[in-house]
Amino acid sequence: MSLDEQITTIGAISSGRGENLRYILMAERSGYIPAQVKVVLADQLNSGALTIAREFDVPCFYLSPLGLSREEYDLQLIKHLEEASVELVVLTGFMRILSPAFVKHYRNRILNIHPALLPSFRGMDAFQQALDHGVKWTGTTIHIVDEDVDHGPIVYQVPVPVREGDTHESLKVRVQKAEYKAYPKAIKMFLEKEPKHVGRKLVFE
Amino acid sequence: MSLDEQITPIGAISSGRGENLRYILMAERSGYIPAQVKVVLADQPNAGALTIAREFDVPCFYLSPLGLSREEYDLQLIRHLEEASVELVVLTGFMRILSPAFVKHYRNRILNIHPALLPSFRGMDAFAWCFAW
Repeated sequence: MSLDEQITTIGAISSGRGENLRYILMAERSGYIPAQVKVVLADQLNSGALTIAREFDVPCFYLSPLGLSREEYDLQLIKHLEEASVELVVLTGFMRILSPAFVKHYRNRILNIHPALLPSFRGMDAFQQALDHGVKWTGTTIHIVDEDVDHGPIVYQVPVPVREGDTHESLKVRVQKAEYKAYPKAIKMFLEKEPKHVGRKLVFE
Repeated sequence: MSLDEQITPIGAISSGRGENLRYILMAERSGYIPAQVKVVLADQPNAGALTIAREFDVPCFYLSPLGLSREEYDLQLIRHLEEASVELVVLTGFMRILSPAFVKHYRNRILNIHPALLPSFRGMDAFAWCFAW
C-alpha cells in the first residue's frame, strides 16, 4: 500500500455471527482493502461480531434496542459511528431495517450483503426462498442500502449453484463461502474504483 | 442411440427468429436429444422459425391469430400438435401468453426459455429490465 493511499474509515453493524466481519477485518489487516474498521456495533448482546471485534482489537459496542423507536435507535448508531469518524457503514448480518433518516445521513455510504442474486429472493430467509422456488443458481449480492429493503444499487454479485439434495444448511454453507470472498472484493471495488451513479445503476470505469 | 431408446415427438411454437429452434433441430439430428421435432407452428408469417423448419424438412404452419380469441387460437395450436402426435411442446420465442386450457392440456409437457435467471426479470424485455436494475 502506498503511503498516500487514502484509508477509508469503516463502521460495521451486525446482529449475528459476524463471520463476514472476520473476513473484512482480515482483508483490512492484509492491506487488500484501503480501509480501517474503526468501530463494530451490534444489537444482540451475544452477537459473534462483538467477539470477533475484540479478537481484532476493534472498539465494539452492544446497543440495546429495548424501549427505543427505530429512529431513536438509529440515532444511537449514528452517534457511535460519528464518534469513530466512520465514512463507510458496512452491514454484516444486521437484521434491523434502517430508518430513512439513517439512510439519508449515510446516503450511498452504506453497504449490505444479501444471500441471493437480487432482485430474486429479497427479504428474510433467502436460502429457503431459493430452495422453495427450485432455482438452480442463487448467489450473493453486495449492494448500496437505500430506503427499500434489499433494493439499492448493486456493487457486486457472485453466482452459486444449488445442488440436488441441498438442504437449507448445505446451501447456506456454500453461499456463505462465496460471501467471505465477495464482501471484501466488493468493498475494494467500491473504494478504489469510485463508481458513478447512473439512474439506479453503479458504473465502474 | 440404442434402438429401444424412446423418441419423444416435439412440437415447437415460435414468433421470432427461431434460432433456438435451429439448435434444437441440430441436437435432434445429431442424436444428442432422444426426440424428433414433428411440427413447427408460428403466429407470424415471417417468423424465422418457419424458414428453419423448411431447411430441416419439418412440417410447419403459420397460424394467424387474426379475429380469434386466445382460447380459439390455442385450440388451433392443439389441433395441429395433436395431428402430429406431439408429446412435448417447446416454446422458442413465442410471444403470446398461452391460455389456461392449453397449459392444462399439456400440463408439465410445455417448456419455455426465458433470458434471465428467474424469478428475476419475468415478463417482456428481460434485458431492458436487468439494465434498469
